[in-house]
Amino acid sequence: MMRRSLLIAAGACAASQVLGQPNAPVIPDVSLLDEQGRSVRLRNLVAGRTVAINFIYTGCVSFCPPQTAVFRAAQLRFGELGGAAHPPLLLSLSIDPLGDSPQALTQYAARFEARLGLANGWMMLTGEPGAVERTTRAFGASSQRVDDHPVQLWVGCVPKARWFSTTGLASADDVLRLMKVAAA
Amino acid sequence: MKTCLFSRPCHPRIATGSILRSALPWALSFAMLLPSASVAGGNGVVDTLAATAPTTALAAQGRALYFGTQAFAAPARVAGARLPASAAACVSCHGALGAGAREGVQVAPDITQRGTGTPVNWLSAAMQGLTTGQRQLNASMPRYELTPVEQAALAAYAPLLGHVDDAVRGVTDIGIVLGVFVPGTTGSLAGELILQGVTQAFAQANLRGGVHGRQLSAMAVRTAEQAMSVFALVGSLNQDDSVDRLLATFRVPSLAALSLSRENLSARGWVAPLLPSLHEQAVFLLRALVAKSASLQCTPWLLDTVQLTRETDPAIGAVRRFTRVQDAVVAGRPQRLCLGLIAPEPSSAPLLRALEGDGTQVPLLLSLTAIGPSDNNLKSVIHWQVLPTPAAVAAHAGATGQSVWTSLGLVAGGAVVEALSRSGRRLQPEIALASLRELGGYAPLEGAALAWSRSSAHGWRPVLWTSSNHHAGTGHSEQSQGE
Repeated sequence: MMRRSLLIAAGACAASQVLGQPNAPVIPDVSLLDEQGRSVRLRNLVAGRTVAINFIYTGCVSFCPPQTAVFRAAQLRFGELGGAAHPPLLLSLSIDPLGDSPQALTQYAARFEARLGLANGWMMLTGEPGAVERTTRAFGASSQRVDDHPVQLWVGCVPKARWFSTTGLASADDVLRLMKVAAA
Repeated sequence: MKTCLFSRPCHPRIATGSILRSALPWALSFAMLLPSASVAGGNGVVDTLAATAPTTALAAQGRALYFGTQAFAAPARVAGARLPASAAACVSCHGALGAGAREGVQVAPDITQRGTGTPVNWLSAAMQGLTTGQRQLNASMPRYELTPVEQAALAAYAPLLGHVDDAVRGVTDIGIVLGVFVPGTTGSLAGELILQGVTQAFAQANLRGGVHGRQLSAMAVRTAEQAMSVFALVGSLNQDDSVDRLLATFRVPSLAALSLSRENLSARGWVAPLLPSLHEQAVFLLRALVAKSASLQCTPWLLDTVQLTRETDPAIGAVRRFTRVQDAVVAGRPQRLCLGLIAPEPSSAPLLRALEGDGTQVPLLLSLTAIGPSDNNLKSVIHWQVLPTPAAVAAHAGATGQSVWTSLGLVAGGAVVEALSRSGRRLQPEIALASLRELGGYAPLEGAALAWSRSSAHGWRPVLWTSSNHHAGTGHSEQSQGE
């Protein structure tokens, strides 16, 4: 019953297609680089949080800018999530680790006026190619070519091991709704 | 005894020391980073270019909106979220010829008249997100709140997009004119030498029939009006950001530029430089310093008086970093010291003199050729230098007896010829820029392969080079490995 109600709530997404409540991804034990070039353990980063994860690269001109604009709109509305027991965190993972340095991610974020950093609830990550590949594989977002990557959004509450994924462009409404449902 | 540079027979003009000051005058380029080094006179350029703006015809405005050189009056929205102006241009998804593109599962359709591109369709799609058949477009198609003038402008441009009549400045049926900045003040000699090299590259291409039936010509650009008459700049030494921004406004790309930026440029910008940024060179030096210090069992120090490195740079925590030479001079020294220098010669001299005098073992010295020093009096030191070009460029200059600037012009011209060849006959500045950035792996000169990519704005990565006697009198270089 719980699962059904969650799917109904999550299925309200308009533009994107919610693929339901997939098995919780196994977060790989990898270290990545944040937009400041600092090494972060992915498992430590998401522990205790409700996260939304998208996959981007700074050379992408068609789909990544809309995804990033949506994350920025969602970030501006974090207040709607209330005093969440599991603080929200947006993660934008570069799928082009050879091309995307932390500096490139910072410049990319600036175009969207994105406020990055853990305190602001949004981080952009890159890293060694092997670590990035393990991460994208864990979320089914791996591809042979960066410009051939599947367009996906994952939303999950890590302590509750409750996850949703969508294909297509989710709106900020979708992102916030799924974060609420995942953490409920 | 002087040793020869870059593993080749000695040429009297390229003895170590002199070539690094004369034939590779990066120190001059660094000095040109100063804001006063405008290529054509600072704000006067802005005024002059503004006065020579393209026609105010609606189609021209529509073209500017399509290509993003003019922002829409109201921000576009996608899935309800505001898109920045830099991501809202139609060209981003539909391409410079309007033929559409695919990225991942996302398909942007052909919106020329060959496809679905009528003026009515354009406005319906942009404003309502609907096809003329009232079908809802994909959510990733932004929604635009167009003013009446913007609607009229886009409708006027729609029939021209991708059409042979969509005129491009500097391009005719039989020729393409490109420009080389030859400013009248500092750096004019370098500009003339670069122009010689570009002209050589174009002459070779023209002997083979030109590019898609068009002959290439390179003209010296000394004024803003001249810059506005060419398809693109080649091998530009311009260091003035405001001039670059203004040229971008008029869709004049700077292809294979030879300017030396302090920070990495954007891979989406209108300047595609050949040389790595000073910051990238500094980080490369830093990593090399850490790696070589480990193998030489010495303590790594970095003197960075121009503060190109930052606390967040990788490996910065593994070195002791000084930003003032007096701090390094008085600091307690380890028995074996490996020294990285990012400091002009005068400011590093006190530390080098102190090290000469106190007997500290210095097995390694690393510096940037662009900044210096080119020489030192330390005993038993291996001096590695970070070059902003592949060693093959200077070797080519030595072998041909011409200036390195001419060789650089030849390489820049060769890269542009290749990019134009890959751009097809229906040429647009955006297409040439994109083609240039897809030349990763292509070598316009043997040993000088390019590293451009969709994410890397710079054509070359830094290279480590030494002429140390430890290499038996020959130069020795190490390439950056995509760091």
